Amino acid sequence: MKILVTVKRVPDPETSIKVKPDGTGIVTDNIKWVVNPFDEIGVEEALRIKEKVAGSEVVLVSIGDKVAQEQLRTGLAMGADRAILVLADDLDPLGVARVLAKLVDDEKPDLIIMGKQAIDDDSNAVGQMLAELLGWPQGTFASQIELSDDQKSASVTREVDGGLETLSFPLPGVITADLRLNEPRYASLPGIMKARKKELKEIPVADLGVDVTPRVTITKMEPPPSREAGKIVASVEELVNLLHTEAKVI
Amino acid sequence: MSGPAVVACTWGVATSDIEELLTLGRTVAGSLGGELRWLVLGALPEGATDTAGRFGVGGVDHIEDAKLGTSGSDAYVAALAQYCTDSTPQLLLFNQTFQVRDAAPRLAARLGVGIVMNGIAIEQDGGTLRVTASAFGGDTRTVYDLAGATPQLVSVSANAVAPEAAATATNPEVRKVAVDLGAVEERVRVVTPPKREGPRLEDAQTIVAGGRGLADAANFKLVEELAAALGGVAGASRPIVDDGWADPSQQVGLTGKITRPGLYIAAGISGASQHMVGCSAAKTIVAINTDPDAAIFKHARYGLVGDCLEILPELTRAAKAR
Ligand SMILES: Cc1cc2nc3c(=O)[nH]c(=O)nc-3n(C[C@H](O)[C@H](O)[C@H](O)COP(=O)(O)OP(=O)(O)OC[C@H]3O[C@@H](n4cnc5c(N)ncnc54)[C@H](O)[C@@H]3O)c2cc1C
Repeated sequence: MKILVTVKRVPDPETSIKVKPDGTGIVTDNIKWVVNPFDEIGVEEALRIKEKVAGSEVVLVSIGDKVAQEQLRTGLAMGADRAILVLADDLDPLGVARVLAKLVDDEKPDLIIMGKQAIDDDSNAVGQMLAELLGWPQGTFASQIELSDDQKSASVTREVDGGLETLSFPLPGVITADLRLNEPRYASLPGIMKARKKELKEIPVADLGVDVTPRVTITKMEPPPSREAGKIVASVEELVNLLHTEAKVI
Repeated sequence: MSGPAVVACTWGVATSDIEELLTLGRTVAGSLGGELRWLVLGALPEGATDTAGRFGVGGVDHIEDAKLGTSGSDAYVAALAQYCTDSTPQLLLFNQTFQVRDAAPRLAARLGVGIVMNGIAIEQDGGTLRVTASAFGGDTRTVYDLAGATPQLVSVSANAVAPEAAATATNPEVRKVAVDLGAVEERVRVVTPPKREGPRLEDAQTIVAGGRGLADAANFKLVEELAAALGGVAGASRPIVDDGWADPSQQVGLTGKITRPGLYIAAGISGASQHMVGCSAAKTIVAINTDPDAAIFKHARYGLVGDCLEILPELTRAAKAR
């Protein structure tokens, strides 16, 4: 089974993100860059399938700047087989989905696993768009994935508004990973050594002949509105009084 | 012929979300000098015409088809695509439910148009629509310009705007819109539907939420007891959901529920941005934390520095005594 997994380079979720004073982007000094946590979970899931289904191959794809090599190497060190980096900047979600659809035409995977969203723009759109462009079914926000014995269909359990829901659909398909799907492994030292020799192919986006004209462009970034500083109260009694007389919420 | 300026599109959701979406839609339609229509897929919510009138909707479009079931996006995407081709709206607004997250990006890809998710505000600037959306787990806001083909799509976060009835009510008519879903074959089958139990966190007026500071699964009941005493609902931070102390449906935050209660009590929660996105719209936030430097105190109107295992039961007693 061939599994394609997307890997986006994003700031470490532990860092607090600040907007540049001129609103042109975020302050990137001292930021550690990592694999989008949702994508990392996708890589882990693909590796677990590979361990179960003999002859499987896990191919990573990233779209972005040359430095995204680092994140692809991380995924290769976890155990993925090879990686593709499409060099492009400022694509909108539809542009990203179209690039991925083109790669899928060439690679013909049986399954695509993606993070349900990237923790930078939090958009949560590309997986669904890709599934649509390919005409494939989708299982979004997966917190559990099971493949049928013949790998012809998948069942996906997800956390939806009302609780847990289990879906089933034929493959090929797109699955997007939620946080509780698994705990990604760390790359081992031998894994890191091996990763250096694994194939990492770079493709300039222009070579793909895909229309990536953005429909949505970022004009500026802003900090969220700040909240007024509150007060520290001394006792439960004082709190209950204030909630009643001042905030009027109880 | 040009279609309506704004179509607010909903299906199978709670009324509070609909009223928010209609409020935003009316403002945007007004700024574009056009009409707001409300497109309902599936069953009409109770009192739909009344709601539409109060919120200044020009007309209700209703699509009903047996294929518009509870899950799977194929039929919804097909119905919406046909509607867009026939009615040519300029802007299509959705309230960001799970089903919308499934279907709206697919619709955008089918139509070859742009979509902004997590929208919180929409402005019009010289004919260009400018959408503010939350990003980086709530640490920043990104302002997007929508360009190119219409309709443009925006999925609006729950609680982005406060519902506000129109200054002058309208008298909208419900128009049945026919779509042909004969060719649609839903590929996604629901094996186990979700069980909906208890009140939704998104609708709760009072939420008491617990985090890792509770120290032990058994202590989550202190949160539940205070919630019950206040007539509210219990919520949780992600780690304690991961550890099984609370149910996934109780998680507040970026990967959980976006809430807007009058009162949000956070006990033993540090105040990570990914948590705060889910509760920063609360009118009053109370923080209970042993660490006086915890980030949550920057968001809280009232803070109590101390052990939540002692404070929660005290609060429960005080609430019951009222
Ligand atoms: C992609 C992504 C998505 C995420 N989505 C979410 C989400 O949806 N929701 C969410 O909540 N988190 C989410 N997180 C996790 C988030 O970053 C934080 O890790 C999490 O919110 C912390 O939970 P906590 O406050 O319960 O635990 P901690 O950060 O460990 O804080 C525990 C707090 O309890 C206090 N404390 C300890 N003992 C006591 C006591 N006896 N009495 C009172 N206080 C005490 C401590 O001082 C501390 O402030 C996400 C993270 C990522 C990377």
